[in-house]
Amino acid sequence: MLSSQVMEQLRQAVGSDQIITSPAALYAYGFDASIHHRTPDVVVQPHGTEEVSDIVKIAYEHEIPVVARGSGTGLSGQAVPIEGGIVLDLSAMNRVLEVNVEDLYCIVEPGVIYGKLNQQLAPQKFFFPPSPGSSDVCTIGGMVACNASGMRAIKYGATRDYVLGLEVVLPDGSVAHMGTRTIKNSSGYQLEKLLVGSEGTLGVITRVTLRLLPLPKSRAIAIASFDDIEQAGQGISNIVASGLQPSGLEIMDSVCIRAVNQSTGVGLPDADAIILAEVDGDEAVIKEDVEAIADICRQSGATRVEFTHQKEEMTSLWQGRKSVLPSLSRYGEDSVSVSLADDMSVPISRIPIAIKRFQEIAGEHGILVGTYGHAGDGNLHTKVLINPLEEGSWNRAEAAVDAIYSTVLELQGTVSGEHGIGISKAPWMQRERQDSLQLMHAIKKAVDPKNIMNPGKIMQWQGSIITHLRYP
Amino acid sequence: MKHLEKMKHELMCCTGCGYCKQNCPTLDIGGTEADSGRGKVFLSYGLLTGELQEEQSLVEALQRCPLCGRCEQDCPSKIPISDIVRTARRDLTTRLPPHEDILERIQKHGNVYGEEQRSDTAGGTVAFFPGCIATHRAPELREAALAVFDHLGVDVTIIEGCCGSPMDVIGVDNDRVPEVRRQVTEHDVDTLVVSCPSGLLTLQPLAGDIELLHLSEFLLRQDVELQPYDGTLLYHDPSVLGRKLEIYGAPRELLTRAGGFLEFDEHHELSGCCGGDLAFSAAFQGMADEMARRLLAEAAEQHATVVTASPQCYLHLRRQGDVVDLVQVVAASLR
Repeated sequence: MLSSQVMEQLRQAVGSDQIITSPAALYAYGFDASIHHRTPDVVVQPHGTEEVSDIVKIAYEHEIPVVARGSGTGLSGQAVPIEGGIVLDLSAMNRVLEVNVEDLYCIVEPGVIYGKLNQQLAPQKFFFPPSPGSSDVCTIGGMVACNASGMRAIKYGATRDYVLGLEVVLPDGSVAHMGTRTIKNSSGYQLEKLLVGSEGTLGVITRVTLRLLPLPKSRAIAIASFDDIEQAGQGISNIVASGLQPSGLEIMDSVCIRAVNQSTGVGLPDADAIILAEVDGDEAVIKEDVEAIADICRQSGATRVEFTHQKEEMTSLWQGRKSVLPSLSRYGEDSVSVSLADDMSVPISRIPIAIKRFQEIAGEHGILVGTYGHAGDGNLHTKVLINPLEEGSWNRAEAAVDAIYSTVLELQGTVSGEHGIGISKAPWMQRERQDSLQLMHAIKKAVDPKNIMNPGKIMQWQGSIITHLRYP
Repeated sequence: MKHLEKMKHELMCCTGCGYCKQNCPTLDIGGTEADSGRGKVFLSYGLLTGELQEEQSLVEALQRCPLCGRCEQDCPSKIPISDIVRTARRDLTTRLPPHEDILERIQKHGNVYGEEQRSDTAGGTVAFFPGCIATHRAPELREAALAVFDHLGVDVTIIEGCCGSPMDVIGVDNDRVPEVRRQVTEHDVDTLVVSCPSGLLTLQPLAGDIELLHLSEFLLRQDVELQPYDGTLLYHDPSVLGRKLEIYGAPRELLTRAGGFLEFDEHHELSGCCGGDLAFSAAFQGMADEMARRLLAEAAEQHATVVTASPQCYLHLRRQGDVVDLVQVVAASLR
């Protein structure tokens, strides 16, 4: 509960219609797509940098937590205000301020929706590539804060690779401009890159300068069916090792295939596993590449390979792929999909062994795990299916998650490839980056001495993650 | 036991992915998390678990939704969001003042406008249920329908009164459906033709006893012949007629016979919402009017007049611009 003095100061900083205090609305702002929930004390919807700065100054003065939020699609609790305080809903700061294809950049506000930005860029034949699963909903600010990426990272990389510059409101309310609008930059510490993936713990991003790439002329997709998921995993490694450069290389196990087919009617092949490979570029090249990928899949044991370059069919396949996560919630009568252990990465060649080990762990802990992901860049998604109301289900899930992450670390992987740490992955990130933790704390303290920026997250989280659950 | 108890699994199946936020007309205008489909699911969850107490802001947030179901088209987990919202409303005990008024008028006068109740008109075995709007606020629709029946030589029994649809939407027991059933039985009809999609949805419990048809379906079955209508028409799928009752073809076939029509950029299952739900537009008029204006703006861009197949949408859109109902098009185009 914030004091009446703070509330009055907020009202002076922004209009009353930009301040949300009703119990119902506040409760709804306590969620994202993670397993966690905590109701904020107040939500403010700023319209520009100056307003953000004014609000942060008030928070700094009174040492109130500030949690920035875009669309709230994060899977690890980054936008959940775990210590209460002020949630800054940046979705109204949604202007594309400049598109400059001659200089290969655009400048946007943080609330711009990723999909809408690319729609706007398409007529000029440029795009911002990372392509997260939530692309039609998620905001650029959220993508930058979590270093999001997605299905095309194998060829195009992640958000960090495209951030040229940032405007950031620092914890004391001052406004800092980091980076440049040039493609190359060797000028001192690249603080803009540090802010990428900092999950709102170092400041509030209010403007983003993004590098743009020319839109590929055409795409084609191959779908290969396998009787054995390990063979599919081997197929992925074989494609990568061949030197071909697909723009997407996905794997899905039978649990995920069935879930998507039940839920969306996309009609994926009924197999133990599939590989979905996309190539892009000039038409002649992609024809050659897609056939080469098909050959490698067959040699790796694929029972069937189909390909398409029909735009509608490809869109439908990608929609099916993007629907895996929510579709899994419909898989069982009693179980639902909860966001745990959701985006680990391992060295690409370790994918077959990782998948095999995850299935064993699921069996050992009496839970169901669906495995899918951007296997071409080593990034896997496992989804834990449990009945949140069943006695002991969360403890079993947590033990399974611990075993899964232990495997990931043994395989020299990382606990998060693209979703970020937040709360849900914090204990394992801390285990993975033991010798970096001290430096992370030092950076945080230097930038945010009062610890008001999204406190309690990443290296600051302590204890079990099975807490502040949004389930009963 | 709370009604929401039976929706518990559905509530937990929502992963909170937020895909429902893409095209939600309420969120588009309201702009807060509580306005989105997932926001309503979260609020319902809070109401069920008791984490949220029933107070004004919760009642308003749960009522601030026209139940258009557009969010469900974007939901990969197939969460029945509008059913959840309807169910949550049944667990509320507080009513918004405009809803109190609606309920009182239905109880006192037998119709949502508090007008004098008409008596049924006996006729053949096909009954026509014009509903409150076409009877009391847009009589031109009732007259057009009756003129078409007359032209076709169909001697209709007219069943007057209220289907109770606003009661379902607001979240109270609907005691009107048994009354309509009694009227239908008394007149010994075998078919009930309903002009209002919400009425048709509400009267579905009667479907086991008699054949229920939307007016557009009935007219198509009569093989009505039409000549070209004078004007460019842009057909809007009413949310209930389309997404809930899955009636997309009959209105389009009639419009094709009347010389053709244009489609909105988003149509069929993806059609936008005009905000015309009676209970929603009564309580949140500003938001509902803005939804109507946005639809009408697209019609203006296409230099066309919106044609709907719902008296509820017709009445609401008419407050903001030009609109015709399908039955008026048919009446004007009869050969």
